[in-house]
Order: sequence, then C-alpha cells, then structure tokens
Amino acid sequence: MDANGKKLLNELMELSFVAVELNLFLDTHPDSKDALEDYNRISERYMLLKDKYEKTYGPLVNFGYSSSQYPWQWSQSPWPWEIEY
Amino acid sequence: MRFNINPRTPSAPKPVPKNKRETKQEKTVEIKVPQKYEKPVNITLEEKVEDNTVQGKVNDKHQIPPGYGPGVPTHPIKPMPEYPYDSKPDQLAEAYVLWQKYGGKMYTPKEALEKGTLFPELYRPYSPERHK
Repeated sequence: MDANGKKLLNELMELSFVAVELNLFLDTHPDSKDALEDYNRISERYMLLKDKYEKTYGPLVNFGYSSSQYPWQWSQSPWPWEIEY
Repeated sequence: MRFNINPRTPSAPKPVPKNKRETKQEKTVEIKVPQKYEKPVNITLEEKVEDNTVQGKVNDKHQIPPGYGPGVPTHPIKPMPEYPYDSKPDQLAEAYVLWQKYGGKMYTPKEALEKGTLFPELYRPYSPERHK
C-alpha cells in the first residue's frame, strides 16, 4: 500500500475514534446539540473518506457493507497487521 | 424422547383461581446462623400469594422467592447483604461524579487516538512510577 493509502487509513482510524467518543458522550447527553453537530460532521467526513479509500484500495468491511471492484479485493488487499505505518 | 411442551403437566398442581387465592401468608422461618454470629434469628417473611404474576405471566410451577414478584425486577439483582456485625457503621461510602460538559477544549483527532480520549478532562496518563 502506498503512502497515500496509509495516510487515508490513519485519518479514518482517527475519525472513527472521535466518533466513538462522541457516541459515548451523546449516550449520556442526548440533548447536547453541539456534540450531535460534531458527531454528524465527523460521520459525514468519515463516510466521505471511506468511499475515497475503498475506491482505490478495496473494501474496509465485508459481508455486504462495501462493494468491491473486479477482481474480488477483500482477500487480496493487505490485512491490518500487514500494513506498516 | 418426547417432550411435553405443555407447561401444565398432569402432575403439576392446578392453578388456584384468582379470586380464591389467599391474599397474605405470614410465615416464620428459623434461619440458622453460624455460631460465631450469636443465636439463631427468627425472621417473619411476608409471602404475597395474591398476585402470582411476574411481568404479566402466570407462574404456576415456580414459587416466587421472597424479594421477587410484581413490581420487582426479575433479573437477578442480588441485594447487598446486611451488615454482618453487631453494630452498623455510621457512614457508608458515597460516590459523586461531576457531570461532563461539552464545549471545552478538545484534542485533535490524531491526538485523541494517541491519548485514548477526546476530552482533556478525562485524560489520565499511566505512569508506571506512580503505581509501584
């Protein structure tokens, strides 16, 4: 995987962690508009980057949550532990 | 092997019609206490047989143990045992947790992932020296 792919993956991991944090905060503070706004903004950016990543480097999730180009990419792209950041 | 899927097996006692059930039944039970805890204690249990339902289901086969029944959650919450000593403590511990607020300083996504939290007020770095 090239440097651009790693950069995208890193940013995806960061965004998904922020999403987890905001998710947990919102679980106990469902009325917080500011937190919800941030959550939605982060989710949107996450989905955008995920699409961008998957178009070039293959699906991040399987079992129907992402499509694949030909040939089938899931088992061909590197596993998470094979990527050296 | 055949299974009897009818919960009311022939041997099971017939359910008492609702209007004929006793409303209250007092029972004195002797509870054996280990010798170091003084003499045996007599505890009066109030068994309500009036409404034998747990969450809307008629329960014919199983006796509802005391402490369970209508209005009491059926999942196994075990109450704290009584303080086992002769005298009760004056005070027990109280937990007080400040309510987290939104809108203060937050870490950047990169920093948050490294530190394990998005919120500086929740950041507790582990320092091995402190835990020796």
